Amino acid sequence: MKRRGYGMVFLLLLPALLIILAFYVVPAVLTGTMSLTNMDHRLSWNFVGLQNYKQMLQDTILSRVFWNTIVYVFGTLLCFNVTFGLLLALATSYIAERQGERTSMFFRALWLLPRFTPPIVYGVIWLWILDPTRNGLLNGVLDFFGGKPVSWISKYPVQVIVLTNGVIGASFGMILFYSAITSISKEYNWAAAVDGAGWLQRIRYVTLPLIRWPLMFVTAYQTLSLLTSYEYILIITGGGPFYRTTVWSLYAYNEAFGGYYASYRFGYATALTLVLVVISMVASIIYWRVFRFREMMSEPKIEVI
Amino acid sequence: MRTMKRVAFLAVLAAAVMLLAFSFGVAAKETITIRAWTVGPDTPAFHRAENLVTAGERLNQMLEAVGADIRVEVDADFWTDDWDSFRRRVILASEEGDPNVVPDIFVSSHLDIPVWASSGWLEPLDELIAPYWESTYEDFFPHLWDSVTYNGKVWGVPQDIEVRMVFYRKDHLQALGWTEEEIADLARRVEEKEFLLSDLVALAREMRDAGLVDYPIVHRPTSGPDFFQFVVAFGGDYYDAEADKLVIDRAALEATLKFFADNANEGLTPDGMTTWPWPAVHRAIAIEGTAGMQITGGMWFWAEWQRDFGITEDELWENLTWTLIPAGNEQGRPNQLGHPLAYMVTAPSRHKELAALLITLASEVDLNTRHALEAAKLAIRRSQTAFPRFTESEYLAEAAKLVPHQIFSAAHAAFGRYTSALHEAVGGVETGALTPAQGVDLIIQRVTQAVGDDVIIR
Repeated sequence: MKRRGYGMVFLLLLPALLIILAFYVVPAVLTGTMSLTNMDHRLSWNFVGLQNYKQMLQDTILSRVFWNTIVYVFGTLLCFNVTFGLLLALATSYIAERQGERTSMFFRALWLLPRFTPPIVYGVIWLWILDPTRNGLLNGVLDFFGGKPVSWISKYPVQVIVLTNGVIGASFGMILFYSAITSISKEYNWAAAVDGAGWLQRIRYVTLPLIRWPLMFVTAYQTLSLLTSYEYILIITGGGPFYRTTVWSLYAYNEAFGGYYASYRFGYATALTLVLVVISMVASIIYWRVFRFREMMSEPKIEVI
Repeated sequence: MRTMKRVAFLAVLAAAVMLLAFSFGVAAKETITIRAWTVGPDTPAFHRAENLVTAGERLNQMLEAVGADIRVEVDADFWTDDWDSFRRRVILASEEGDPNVVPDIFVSSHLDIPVWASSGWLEPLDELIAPYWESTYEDFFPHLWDSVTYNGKVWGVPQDIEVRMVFYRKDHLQALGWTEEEIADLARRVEEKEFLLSDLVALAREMRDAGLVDYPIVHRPTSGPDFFQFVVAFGGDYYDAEADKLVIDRAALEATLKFFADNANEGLTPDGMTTWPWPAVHRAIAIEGTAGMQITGGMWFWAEWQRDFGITEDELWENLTWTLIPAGNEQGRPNQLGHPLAYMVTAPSRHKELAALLITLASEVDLNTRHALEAAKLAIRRSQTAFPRFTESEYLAEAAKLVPHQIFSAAHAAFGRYTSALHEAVGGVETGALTPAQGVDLIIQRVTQAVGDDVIIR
């Protein structure tokens, strides 16, 4: 009976296991193996040992890329994906209370629009907004007030990539936080109000502690997501000016496929990618332990009426 | 009963006709499909695909005339996204090598030949085009064959050629007091080294100080071989053809990077030039005149500006003039870089002879001329220069005067890496992230990553 029970468990897990095997384990092993080759456009497996990793140590651009990645990931996370997402959730839940659910939903839908927009369209819209000449939206406004055009991307490269990614990323936190906030038992807020707590105090002492788990989950999930995202940077700044906005994943992409005649340094690019995998794994372990995710997984933490 | 008989008869008759039509159709017209992948990315160059389609139609007329039971269908697509994505598509398909995926013909840059030929993806054309040598190919300008030759074999049929130039806003020159004669004489002064890059910079300052422009000097934002023109202008070289090695000429590269750095420091070129979108560059120089000079211009812009930005040719003549890239110093020379595109036959193609024949027909004088006129490209055949439709174009005739000073990119597999590295360094010095000397070091690092010590550093 017991053996049959294990068999059933294995059978039920099998589809998920196969998917993980095919789409995570096999590519990871292939990436690891490829990083030991000097594979180029001819896709031949010429093993060169640790040469790519040695080259990484000599790559003068890489330290710049590393710091760009840190600033981009945590800048976007702190300014937008968590903080701004939380503000949107609080604001829309407040609107829901005062103006009704429909109005609140309208504002949430508005913030979801960038996420529904195809990346290339979203990127092109930003390129127009940030155009360095008077034809751009921002420079057009400046021009109207008699100002000189500003080359936004070259003057504020980091701010541009944080903002453009953040406007999309904020909606993820907004949805999760909103549902968490609305799940909080109303009695807590009423009790706090009776005790004389103002709106801000209720947020500080009631709402935030009760949505601690979603906050931590969004922080951890979005860190990993931002570490590997580069598509909007590629479209909007191309990683420039001169690597000011090149993050690790974009650098790896460029080494593989970028450049006017394309680089096709697949060996070196996969070595770079593998470092990113290691960084992601370390970050996951840190989050797991520091945020005590085991506790979160063990029992529901949001009380629902 | 009679009705049933009639129905049965009609059914049999219909089946017989259908069967006959079907079998006749197959026997009479076996259709061979030839597929081609062509690239702009500039949209006016669509005849790179269309000429192959027309060649197929002409071939079918000939086949019909001789009563042959075979027809050709040409399935040619035209890529208007960037070079990078076109090459990625070619490379991934070629590496798979499946003749159902890889087309029979590529139209791409002559620079792709060393990489693609050495990878075994292309078919050498010497024998395939030999039957048409006297009738067609002998008429081609001989130097174009050098650009498609690699390891002693011909891998491509030149499809077009162009010149690059510096575009100047004529209206701003006039505003500075230049007469028509002085403007007309500028091209000669550049050619004879009376007007150097330092004079160009001085002119940019004048335009700025007179409040005529926001951006006195602009250049292409993206990577491209254009930047090597400045290396030559400063007396340097980038390729040793005899040794088949890339050359890193420290002094000329540093002078080139200093030129770009100084312009950015002085505010003559926007320091974020390498982040500009292409349309902003085009609008600044060709439409709005907020730029004074575009120092990495190409003759095909003339067509793009008309087709994509809706400006008339008369307006372009009124507002713009052009010259070679001026020399940078005494050792340097004025020059411009040509970048021929070529038809190539793929190694996996099942119809190589037919592909070569179609390329030959697509290279007819009238077809290549319609491409030249539409896309603003130069002639590849001597007889085109006497062809009425070609000679009627004043623009092509004027631009063709720059041809004697043409240089080409290096026919070396790692030249792409070198090109990207130079562009990176230009971006680096313009933003102040690198000094010109550091820029040269970065180029050396990038190139040696690709070719090891197999490079000449002077």
